[in-house]
Amino acid sequence: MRRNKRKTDLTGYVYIAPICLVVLLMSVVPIFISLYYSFTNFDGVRAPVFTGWDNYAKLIRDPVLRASMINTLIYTVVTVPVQTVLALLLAFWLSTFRQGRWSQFIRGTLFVPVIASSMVAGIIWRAFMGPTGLINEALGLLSIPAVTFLDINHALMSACIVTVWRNLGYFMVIYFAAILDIPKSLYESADVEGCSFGQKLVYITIPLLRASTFLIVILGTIWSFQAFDLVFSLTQGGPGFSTTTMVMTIYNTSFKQFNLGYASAQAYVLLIIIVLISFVQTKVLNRSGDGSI
Amino acid sequence: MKRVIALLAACALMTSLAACGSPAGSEKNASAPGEAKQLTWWMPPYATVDALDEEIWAPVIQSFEEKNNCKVEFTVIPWEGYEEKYLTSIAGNAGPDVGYMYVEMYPPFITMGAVADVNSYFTQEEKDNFIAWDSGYIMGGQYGVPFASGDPRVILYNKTILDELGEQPPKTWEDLRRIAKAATQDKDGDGNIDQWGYVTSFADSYYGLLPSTYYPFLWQAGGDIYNEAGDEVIIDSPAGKKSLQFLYDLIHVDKVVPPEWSSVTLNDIFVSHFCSGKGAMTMVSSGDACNYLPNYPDLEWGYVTALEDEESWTFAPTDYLTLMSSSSDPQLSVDLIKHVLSKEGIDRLHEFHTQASPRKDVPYLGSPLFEDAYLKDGGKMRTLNATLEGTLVYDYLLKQIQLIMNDQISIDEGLAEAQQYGNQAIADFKSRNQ
Repeated sequence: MRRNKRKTDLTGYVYIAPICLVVLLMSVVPIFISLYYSFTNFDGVRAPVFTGWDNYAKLIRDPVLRASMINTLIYTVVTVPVQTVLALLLAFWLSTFRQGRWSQFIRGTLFVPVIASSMVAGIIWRAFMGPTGLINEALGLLSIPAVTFLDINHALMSACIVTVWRNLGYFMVIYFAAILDIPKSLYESADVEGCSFGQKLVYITIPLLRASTFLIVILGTIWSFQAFDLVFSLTQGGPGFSTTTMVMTIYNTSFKQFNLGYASAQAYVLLIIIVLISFVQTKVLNRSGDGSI
Repeated sequence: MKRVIALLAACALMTSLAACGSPAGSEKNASAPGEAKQLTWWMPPYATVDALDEEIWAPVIQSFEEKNNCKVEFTVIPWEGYEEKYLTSIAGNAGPDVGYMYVEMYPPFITMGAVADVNSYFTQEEKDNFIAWDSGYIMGGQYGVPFASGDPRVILYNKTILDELGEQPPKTWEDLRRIAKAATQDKDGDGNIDQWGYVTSFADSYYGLLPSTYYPFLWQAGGDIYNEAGDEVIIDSPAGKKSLQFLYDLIHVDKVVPPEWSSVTLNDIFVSHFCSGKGAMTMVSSGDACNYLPNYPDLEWGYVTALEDEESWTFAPTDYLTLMSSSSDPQLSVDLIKHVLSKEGIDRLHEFHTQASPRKDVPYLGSPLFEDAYLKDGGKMRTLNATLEGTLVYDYLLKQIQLIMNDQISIDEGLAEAQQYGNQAIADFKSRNQ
């Protein structure tokens, strides 16, 4: 009996072996290889030579990395709260229609940016935000002076706006599904008690959406730290370093400067930042609850 | 029995996955004995669509294949990510036999040993026939065979506007400044400026902007970015400051530049302001002028090759065909380079694209619009030298200039920072490649 169970287990392992092998080779091994590269002068072509902590020492005095870290932090601090709050409010508002035609239409419309190509979205927004783009034309009709959305002073905020536009539909759908799971009886009781829209939101909806909020905040933060394609197609990281993100810097170091060793060190810094922030967020979001999410 | 079948099925799946990889020891472009040899040739787009580039080169390739019993695989590599494509392909042993490079690209590829010296493949007579053969001598070897020479940056001026002002074409910085101030006007009387003196932009994110906005002024002031050896950044100089101050003053003091300079690319602002007749002067490449200006037949324009200050220079790049070290047949690859640069190849390219010939025995075939620039002002043209960490330094310099022009930092701070960053990058490069 025990021998048969062991054989059954073995068959299962053989079945999952191919995908485990793929994950191992494509995800796990590169993590360790890039750790090794981060201590070398690897340029992608010649054999890497061990350089000790040189790459990590260089991180401290690299003004481009410093600027991109600051940009990424600002980008995250702006986009994550805004998209989380907007997604929640939209989902709550749409849930009042439940499965009505308008609800479906608005959800569908808001989800379109999620399935659109980031590169295409960035290019279209760049055209919209130009001096003679759609937005400035519209402002002109209202006699409002044109705004230079993509100059050095406004480009990062413009990138934040486009990012929120892109992510909103996805997070709204997560909230919407979670709201539908909240028992109607709670809202009916609140109605009987004479609760307002705001009170229902604060005392019923938000507490019961903690798991979804946790997911959205963590996902939003990780995506923000990994920002690349949308911002790149919108601004190419400029003007100046005003919209250069950390991943963009890693990309440039790898494929424009051919310094894969140093880029690996930068990537490890990004990894550590994401892990630390995710850890802190987990602790904070769990602090007032029972620990389960 | 079922378990045996399941185990066999799983093993088959794993085997098929393993088979997806390329066989160990397979060689790039290796051909079996008796088979036609195969070469790969990479080019950037010269035409507006890749298909047209293939059409340009198809007869040239065909005649080479027939003469040499070989097969040439021609690939157009988009400018976007051009260097990255080379690096990743060379790293994966999938690079071309013959490539196309611009001067800033060479140093890292030479250091990696990815490009080969072609000096011994050319006779002295062949070398002497190139207008700029020596320019391909980079970091101790003849790595480049000149392919495209020219496309100088020129000052274009609107004849109608200058005639209205009673001005002659500018010759010096002071001329440009005086004319630009006079030309900046509210033409329709609505209280807003609608005709601008000098059309330029510092919004592009690619350092390729600098040849059309900054380098000529820097060189005219007597400065340079690198020292002659190309291993030290010297931009923090009186000439560097003087040239930036001049451009800064045009924007912020004289206010003769359209306000979109900070948010609209040079190409776009050139079209929207100069081509449409709303700008008195601008600096663009002669190639862009040839591409755009014929679409504006009502615009009367002229050009000045280079302004004068301490010196008189403008930027004119030379790009090269390159033999890659990994070529499966170096001699055949060099033969391909020679064939492409033969009269047949150059004539074919010029059916579709106007640029000056790199060979002395082929007459000027560039645009007649800019013939004088080549024939009379050739001595005023210069290009960038091959320098250590060039792309990194030029990119950082562009960002600093953008910060300066946007009043985020001073000229002194920006240039000092660019020089310090560049020299640190060079020191790091030397340290990595000891």
